[in-house]
Amino acid sequence: MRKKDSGDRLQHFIWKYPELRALLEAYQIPYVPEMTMTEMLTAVPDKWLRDKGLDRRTLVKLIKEAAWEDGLPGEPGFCPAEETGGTRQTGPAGLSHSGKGNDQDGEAAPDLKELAVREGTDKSGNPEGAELILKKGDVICVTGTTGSGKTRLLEDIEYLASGDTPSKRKIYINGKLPDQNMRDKLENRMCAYLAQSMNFVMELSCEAFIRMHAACRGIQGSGVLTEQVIDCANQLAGEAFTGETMITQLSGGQSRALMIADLVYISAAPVVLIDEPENAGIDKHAVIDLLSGSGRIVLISTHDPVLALSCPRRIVLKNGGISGILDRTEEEIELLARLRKYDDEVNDVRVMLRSGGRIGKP
Amino acid sequence: MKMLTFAGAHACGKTSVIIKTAAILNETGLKTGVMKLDCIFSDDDSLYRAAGITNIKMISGNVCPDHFFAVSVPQVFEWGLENRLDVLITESAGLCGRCAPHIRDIPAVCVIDCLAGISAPAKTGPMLRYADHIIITKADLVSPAEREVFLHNVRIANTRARISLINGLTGQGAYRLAAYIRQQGETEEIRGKYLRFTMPSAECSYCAGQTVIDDAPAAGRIKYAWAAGGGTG
Ligand SMILES: Nc1nc2c(ncn2[C@@H]2O[C@H](COP(=O)(O)OP(=O)(O)OP(=O)(O)O)[C@@H](O)[C@H]2O)c(=O)[nH]1
Ligand SMILES: [Mg+2]
Repeated sequence: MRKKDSGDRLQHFIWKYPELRALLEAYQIPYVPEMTMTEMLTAVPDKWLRDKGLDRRTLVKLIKEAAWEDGLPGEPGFCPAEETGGTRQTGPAGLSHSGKGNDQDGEAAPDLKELAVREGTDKSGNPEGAELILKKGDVICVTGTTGSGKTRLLEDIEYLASGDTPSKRKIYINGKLPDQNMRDKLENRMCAYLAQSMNFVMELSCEAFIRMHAACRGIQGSGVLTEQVIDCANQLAGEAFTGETMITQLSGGQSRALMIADLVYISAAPVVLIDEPENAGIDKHAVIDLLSGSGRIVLISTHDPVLALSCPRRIVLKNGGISGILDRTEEEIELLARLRKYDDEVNDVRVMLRSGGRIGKP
Repeated sequence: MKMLTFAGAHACGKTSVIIKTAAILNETGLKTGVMKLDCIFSDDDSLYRAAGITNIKMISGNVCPDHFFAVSVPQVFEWGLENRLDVLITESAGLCGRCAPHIRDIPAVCVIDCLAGISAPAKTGPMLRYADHIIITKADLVSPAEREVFLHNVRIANTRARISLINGLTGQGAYRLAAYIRQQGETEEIRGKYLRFTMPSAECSYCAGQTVIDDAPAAGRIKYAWAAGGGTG
């Protein structure tokens, strides 16, 4: 038998590619670290592989993808409820706006500077009234009656429409229409979509949940990051919760707040789409402030006047098309200040009633 | 005729996604038909009928559904040709998850829903692992973070497949799947093609109707969890 070079041995590869170990463990492939890769592959019985729903060819392919193929950086293992030891260190944990996290294909989300929506038509086939150009850091509100096409617009952006949806809209990224290759890469990671019906479904504590999400993004989930996210969420929702609270026990407002805080601190998506957030009982002004400073492009579809006026610009939709893009006027800013006072008053009364208070004598 | 195999656990949203996608395909002049296979009961035929989609329903009953699928699929193919379909879709539920109805050279789609839990992608097996296109449904019901973790786990279970999120209720995202189907080549003949994954080896007295639970070995080729020297390892 040939003398083994230590560089041939499995232990060497496992040390070099943590993803490889995660893969072998995920499929429970038996191995001895002193074996070579080939020995390991020949030693594992067919029957064993079939029990795991694999065959040898697929296993080899998976190993190649985990460990060798150029341009296909490895991926961390299945994300368990706790951080895996196998994820890659990606520099200091914390705000990951730079998109430095280990994304699902090992590629960071693109550096998005500008997103444009062009060449769209309304339901009658007439060209849209305005072209939409959004720059990094923009927070813009989408208004219009029910059925006016708000969700369609968000959907076109989410799926990087290229004239292939009923609206015929084309989405330009940094001034260019993405080609198929780029669209495939961007698909599923450009936008974080927060719909009204969303809820937490996992049975996890808030802390474990945040760590899991951070681990899957390749961020080493530090305690500091978890604290930041929870603090931030507590500022958005009135009632405080802790890292030990189970996510499924959070109130509607708390869940919303945690989702938004998580989007800002952990998610890498450069575009955030929020569909009608007002019913959730969270601090609207704080949300807008937080999102404005997050370096994303944020679109909020809403019927709430306070929220609509809190954004410096708003898109008006009619008959399925963009009919106008309005900048907020001086008068609207004054009106907003008044509306906020009412809003705050309503909030105060809500807190007072909830804690058993009353106004006046019975 | 283009042909696709659709597989996914019960109630994951296969029918909803197929109906939304077929509507788009029909609009562009591609007549789409569906063969639905289930083990015991299914009312998908009425859903398809209501949506105006040509369909045929098959219940495997007492026979292993994957074996049933493999022996029936040539006739299903003929049925598609007779009905002058442009697109033939086979829908089969998760069944036991050990096998997959996916056939080599025929585009394979796996549907999985976000509510199935984050370990579902790892557990789903060949149905997902051998698919070319994975559809994630019910993303409208979970938080963006859970959706991202789910997507990540699907990606690890199948690094090759294209992944799309589709909302089965609104049809959001179905355009992508319709475009994918339009790009697929024609399947001229199904006889002589190979399944992507083997079926389990089981042939014992239970297959022939035995129901009693007993220590006495069932006759045939079957492995035992605690048998001397054997076992699941
Ligand atoms: N909220 C939500 N519900 C969905 C979605 N997709 C499907 N559903 C619902 O899930 C349920 C099951 O959907 P079906 O399309 O019948 O699932 P199926 O996979 O065809 O089920 P079987 O054929 O019985 O195995 C239905 O009530 C759908 O309305 C989705 O994206 N979001
Ligand atoms: Mg169905």
